Amino acid sequence: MNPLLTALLIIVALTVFGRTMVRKIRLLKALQPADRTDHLKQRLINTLFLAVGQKRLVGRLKERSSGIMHAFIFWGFCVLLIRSVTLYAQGFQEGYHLPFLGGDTLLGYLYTDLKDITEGLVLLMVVWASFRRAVLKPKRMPNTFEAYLILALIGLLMVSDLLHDGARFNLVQFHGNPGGIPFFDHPRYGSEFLWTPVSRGAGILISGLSAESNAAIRVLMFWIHICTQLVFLNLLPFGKHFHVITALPNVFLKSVGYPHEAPRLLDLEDEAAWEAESLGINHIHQLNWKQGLDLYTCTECGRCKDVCPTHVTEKPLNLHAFNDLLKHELLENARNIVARARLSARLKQAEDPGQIESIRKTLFTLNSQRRLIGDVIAEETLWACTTCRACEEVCPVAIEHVPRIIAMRQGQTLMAEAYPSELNPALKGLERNGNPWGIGYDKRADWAEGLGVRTLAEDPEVDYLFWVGCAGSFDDRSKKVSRSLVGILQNANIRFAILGVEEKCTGDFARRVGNEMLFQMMARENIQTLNRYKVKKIITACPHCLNALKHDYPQLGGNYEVIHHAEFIHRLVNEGKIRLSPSGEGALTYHDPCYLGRYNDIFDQPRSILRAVSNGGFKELDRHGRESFCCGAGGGRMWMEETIGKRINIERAEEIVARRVATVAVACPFCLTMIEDGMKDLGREAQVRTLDIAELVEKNMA
Amino acid sequence: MTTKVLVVADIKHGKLKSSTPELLSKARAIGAETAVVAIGSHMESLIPRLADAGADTQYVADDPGLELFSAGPWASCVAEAAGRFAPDMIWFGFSESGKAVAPRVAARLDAACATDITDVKLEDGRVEITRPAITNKVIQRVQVNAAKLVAVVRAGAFEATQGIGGTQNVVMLSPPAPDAGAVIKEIVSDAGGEIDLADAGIVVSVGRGVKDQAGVALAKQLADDLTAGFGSSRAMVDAGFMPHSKQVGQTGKIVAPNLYIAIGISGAIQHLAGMKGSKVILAVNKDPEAPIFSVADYGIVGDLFEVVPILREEIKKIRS
Repeated sequence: MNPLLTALLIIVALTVFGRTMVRKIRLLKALQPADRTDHLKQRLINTLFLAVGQKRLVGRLKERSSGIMHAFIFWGFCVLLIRSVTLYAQGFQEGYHLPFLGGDTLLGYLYTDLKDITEGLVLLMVVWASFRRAVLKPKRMPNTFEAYLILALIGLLMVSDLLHDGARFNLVQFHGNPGGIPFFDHPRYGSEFLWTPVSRGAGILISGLSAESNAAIRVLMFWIHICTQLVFLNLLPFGKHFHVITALPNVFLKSVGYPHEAPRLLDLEDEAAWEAESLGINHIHQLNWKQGLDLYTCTECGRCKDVCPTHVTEKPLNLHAFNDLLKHELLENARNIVARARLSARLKQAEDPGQIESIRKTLFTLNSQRRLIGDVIAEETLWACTTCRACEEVCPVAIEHVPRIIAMRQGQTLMAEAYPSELNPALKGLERNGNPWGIGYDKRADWAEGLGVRTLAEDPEVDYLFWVGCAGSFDDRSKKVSRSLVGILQNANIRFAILGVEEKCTGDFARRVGNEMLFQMMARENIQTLNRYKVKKIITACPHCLNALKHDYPQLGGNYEVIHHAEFIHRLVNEGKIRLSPSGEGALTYHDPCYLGRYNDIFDQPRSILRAVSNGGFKELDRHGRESFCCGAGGGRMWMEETIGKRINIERAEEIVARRVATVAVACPFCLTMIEDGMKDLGREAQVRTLDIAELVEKNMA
Repeated sequence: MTTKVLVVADIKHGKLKSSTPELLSKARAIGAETAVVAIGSHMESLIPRLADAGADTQYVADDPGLELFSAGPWASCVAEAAGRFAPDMIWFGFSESGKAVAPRVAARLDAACATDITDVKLEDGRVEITRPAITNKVIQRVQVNAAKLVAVVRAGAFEATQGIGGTQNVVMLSPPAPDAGAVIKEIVSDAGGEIDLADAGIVVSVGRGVKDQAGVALAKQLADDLTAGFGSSRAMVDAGFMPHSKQVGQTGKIVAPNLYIAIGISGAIQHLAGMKGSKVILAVNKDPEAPIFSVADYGIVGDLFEVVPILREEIKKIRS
């Protein structure tokens, strides 16, 4: 077309874009380190399914119509990238095509066809998206000017290319091809335009115009297309559509192994860290670079808040607003963060004490003027989170919300000493008696009296340790579950023992509320006990204990095979060690505990057990499996007041009641308390019984 | 040489609280020379009571500026009294204000400080104190080697001897400088003249079993008869029958009265965590299986509308 103009446009656009990107990347590099270079194969698989396959967009039934729309636009962009390269090259050389995609190969024709239909599809999707935003107005999405602008630009890209080709078609077919515009014409495959129904349709719309007009439209549309694309590229980094660029790397770099970034084992002996106030996240510069990339990538689609138990019950935690506030704080402090990182590097090399002191002072002045919690994020917002991870399971770009919240709670608890005071009795109870209720530790094994259960001290040679947990040891309701599980294990002739008074809370809730000091204290004591008895296999009925023992304890040298009782019972049934026969449970449903399901991927085993004990049929709740709805007690919320909005457990109990079942099965002592309490509040405890899986199994053993 | 004990009077709403005569009686009982320091405003009517309670000398700081409690000025007054009396021990009764002032006084006088004392003995001029440790699982006997001891005595640890009396010997203290850090301008209390749950000797609490406003009203009458604090389980707070400030439990108030009367409370562990320290627990509940009965010293299985009126009647009989 015009090599000079094309070159100029490309150079200007890429220079501006490059500058923007360098700044964005420099800011990420100035944040804290995070290692995301391991498990290459798993990362590629994640990228393939989540990003390329658009798993969480098309895979979720509730969001399928918009998911398919997005997927077609995304896949359309992938197809059209090739077309773009061709177009830029045509700016330099008329009729250029990529090798193998020319008019002499079938492949060239196929691509032309694909590209044509794709453009039509993308255009349709843009129309659907605009209609959805403007007319249907889904609640989860804020309607912004940016959203419409981007949709308009995508529409313009499609229309301009279609008209460009349509004008070409008109010139060739109806005006004798003045100027000899190149087009595919092959003896076997025929004219290029036989393969491009959509652009031909576009051409027909302007076929009434003269040859000159058509020629002018062809040129004009070429430049409009190129310019729109370059403007589009340069707009992306400035808004939520940055995800077009960052989503793929963000998914590739997501945590693997554990469903999100494991809480960092803080070095609490590090005096410098206390002095520099660098334990937990207190200021924006303390995010790690991946958390920064998460913020760049957040598309503000609102799926997170749609599934969030706190947002649904009118609490102030609105995750996409949370991300947005953090992103603005990050960008507003970009200059200081970069300067800070440079100084920190110098501090590491500095030897002169005077210089070290002066660098330290300057470092403090480069902190954000705003406190991250209190000024940027409200306290009640931070403490609302139940750490249930529903948000992370639905986020199409795999943003990890919860680890950030825990790190900020660490900052609040360790550095600012500003945490909900209702937590104090529970924390003190842990410190003094090894349980959050503060009941005398000597009573920990009282529940097992008369059951013939031995302690490890009495019989260290057993195959399994039954880790009872605090609820199973002290809470009257959960003690029944412990006794049921003992009955099952004894029935199956499993050689097991308990720790008795030597067991202490795992420290799970202390860690989730940011009290890393207390968590480490509890974990160290427990690990010492467990290792002294050379414990290898642990069975537990508490998913929170399970999660702490399985994922938190290895950080401190405690490595065990940890099995949840639902998993173990399932195994016993499969091995024929216990037999189940249903005896009138009525219709059953199951409430997935977050720390069993989403955190530890145990979804099928409990269901398989429940199907075996039910004679009234098993019904799924509306929100189940990966998208199960939290009971409201996770992340330390069990030990805090819930005073804002509707109670989460009531919301869940209502959902269960509406399902018209006789029994709701749970597999977690906290869920048991919360759901049963919900039923009592609704006055439905007589109609819908809340039972643990172990209780159902014990009753239905043949 | 006689041991000298200075007792810090615990005054609330212009009245001397029971800990002051208790502490003075104990000081007398171990053969010490006693003095009391009373701090506040409009103290004239209180001065004779101080002597009656068993103090040989009464140090009084009476100033309009001492109307509202503030730890700094209070500590200054105690220190001034100590400067004049030169006590070997300074005793505080258990209260939030005592807990706030005691360490300040100890720091100013460079004295040892011990809290939660349940007994004091004097043997050959040596002081031995007793205090529980590890949540009451063991009792420590500690020999005090320091020259001066500041001690906070557990509520109800000592008994008052009736009519021991003392000589009226009033020494007025000069009003202290106001606190440099903060001045308390007003104390806003939502208890609204009601009995403070944390301080109450008896607490009556209602739970889900009470069902409605009529049940709450009935239980409240019982609480009023007993001049008891009136508390609640979380269920009644959620249901809107009781304010959150009255919630007893893990995430509410933690109470340890001499008598806790649980009406219609099933006794979920979250509630037990807030009242398990009570000395005597009386539970009224329809359900004989209710877990509250496993911690209760006395249990009544029955409907509260039948049980509570009988309780009220019997209490009236005993009182009259």
